[in-house]
Amino acid sequence: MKNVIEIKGITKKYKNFKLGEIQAEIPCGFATALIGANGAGKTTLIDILCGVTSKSGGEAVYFGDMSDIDNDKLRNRIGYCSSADFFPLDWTLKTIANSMELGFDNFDRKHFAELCKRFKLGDPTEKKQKKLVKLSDGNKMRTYLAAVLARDTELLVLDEPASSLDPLARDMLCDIFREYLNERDGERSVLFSTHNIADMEFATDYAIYMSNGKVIEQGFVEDLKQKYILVHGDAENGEKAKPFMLSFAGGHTSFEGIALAENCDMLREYDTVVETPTLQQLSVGILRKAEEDE
Amino acid sequence: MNNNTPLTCSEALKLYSGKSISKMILFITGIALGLYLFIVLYVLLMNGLDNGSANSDDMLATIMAIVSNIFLALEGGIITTLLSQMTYEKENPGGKLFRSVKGGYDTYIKMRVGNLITAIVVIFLFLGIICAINAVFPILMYGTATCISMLFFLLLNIGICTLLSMIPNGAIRGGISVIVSDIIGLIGIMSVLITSGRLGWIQIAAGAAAIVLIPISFKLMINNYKEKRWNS
Amino acid sequence: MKIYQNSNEPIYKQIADQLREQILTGKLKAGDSLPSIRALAQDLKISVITTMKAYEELSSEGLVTSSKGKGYYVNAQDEQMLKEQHMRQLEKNLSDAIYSARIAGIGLEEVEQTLEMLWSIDEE
Repeated sequence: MKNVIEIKGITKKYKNFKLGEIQAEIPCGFATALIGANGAGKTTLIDILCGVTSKSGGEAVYFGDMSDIDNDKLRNRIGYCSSADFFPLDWTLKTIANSMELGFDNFDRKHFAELCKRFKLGDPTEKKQKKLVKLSDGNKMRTYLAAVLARDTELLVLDEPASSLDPLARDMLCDIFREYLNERDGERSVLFSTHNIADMEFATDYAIYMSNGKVIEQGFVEDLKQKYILVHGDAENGEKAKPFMLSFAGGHTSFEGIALAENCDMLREYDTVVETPTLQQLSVGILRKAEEDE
Repeated sequence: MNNNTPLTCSEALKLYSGKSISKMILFITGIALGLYLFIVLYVLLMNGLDNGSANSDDMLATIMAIVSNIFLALEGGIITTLLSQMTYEKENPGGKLFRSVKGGYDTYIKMRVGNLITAIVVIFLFLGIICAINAVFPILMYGTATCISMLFFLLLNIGICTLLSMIPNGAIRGGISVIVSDIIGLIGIMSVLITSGRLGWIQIAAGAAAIVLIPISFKLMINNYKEKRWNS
Repeated sequence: MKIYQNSNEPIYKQIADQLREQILTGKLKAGDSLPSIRALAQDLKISVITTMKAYEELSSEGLVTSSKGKGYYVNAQDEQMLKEQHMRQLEKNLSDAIYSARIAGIGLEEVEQTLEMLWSIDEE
């Protein structure tokens, strides 16, 4: 399968944080989620991939043969937006359209106006315009999305797009991802970060888990769901089952956690119930294990 | 507009600020003139109402003119500071967009060049218009000489403020820049007042220093920015 | 197509089951093309990888074939294979019945009688 980005040993050193080395693949034609707690390094990685932050070492190869993120041809193919203050706060839809048109070769004003209408943001061609500072966080995010989607790109990279959106808007965001992918079947990809995967479960194809600056697990969601199992059991069997489990959370009456599917038979002997985890349950398990390992 | 040509300095400035160089020049000059004339008129009117007596007229006119001169220095200092210190940090609103646009760092430098051009042209325009106004309605002491002196000193101030923009801490940078700018502005005024309106070596020195300092400080600033801010 | 997002049955299985039924009952005919994996994902509001997995399952059973650049289309089903598929379904359903019988402690004889009775009702 083709990859849209291959991350080869990227590192970034700060005074009190180190990212990497990151080895990861982002498959072409799918939506990839970067999952991790706050401070895991998701934003730093995205910023590096989009040319917003410089890297200390390593390389990323985009679209099979491009690796210089300062190359405008590459920049034009990537649609990036952050979730906090992507635009100056005194900008309006009109200023945004003007700047996006100057900043990128493939910004389509007409499409931007349509998207603004669809997201109920107003009309960027109207004389009277509202400044971003007056909008709610959710509407600011919708504005960023309208701006980035109005560009004809092949890879969307969105940093925490869902965090400020209400449930309806999150549902719409998932629709947008699937639409974007379907529009040019197999040639477009999405990469987004999130610390709350539950709402994005049905729009995530590939998951990359990050903890403390490192990638701890990655794979296609359906493969991960076969690799891991969700285990529930009675508290009295907890101690016996624990060695076979990757993550373990127990109370007075019951315990639960994830385990490798290959330990399934072993675990069933301790009177446990085993099921296929949802992406959310899987994420909790994998991230909890990473926390315990530290 | 689907051109693949790189941006001009004016376009880069527009991308960052919403205004092209020409619009920005008109905008800043307009504000600067409006503010200056408003203050001068306000002070003039207030005094005209308070002191109607004729015998203090000469004295009053002199004081008024000196106040106008001083205010010209202060305002000029602040305008040049603001224009030469338009830094954009990644963390500021819009910072990440500006780093992801085509051209990236090159576009940033073009924006700064656009800003520099704006600052220089605004100083010429602003002082030129004040000088012209002064020729019709005298508001300044030694008007023409003051305007010429201010021109050299404010140009010098652009260079100095560009150097000061390398101070990493925003609060310290702002504080020092405003104080330094005002001092330079006041030297520009005083150097004309104490010689009773004659221009001399000090203006020539300021002008010469400005011509040398502006390009050097600009080069130093962009190198410093790339190393300390852009690549951090 | 109907998808239960909160069912224990994985979504890709639900999709595969429904498509399989449509193929086996002849609703989808040989040569028909399936919707593209991304179009179906958009339609059903689920992940692309889920529809892809459903298609891969059908493909591994020989019911559909993927052709590069053109997506998946339905294979011609020969008699033998159709019967095999139906037999597989039959076995699965009977296993369920046996499981229920075991829980209730119902013996083979009784199950056979029930089966015969249901068979005759269905024929009428």
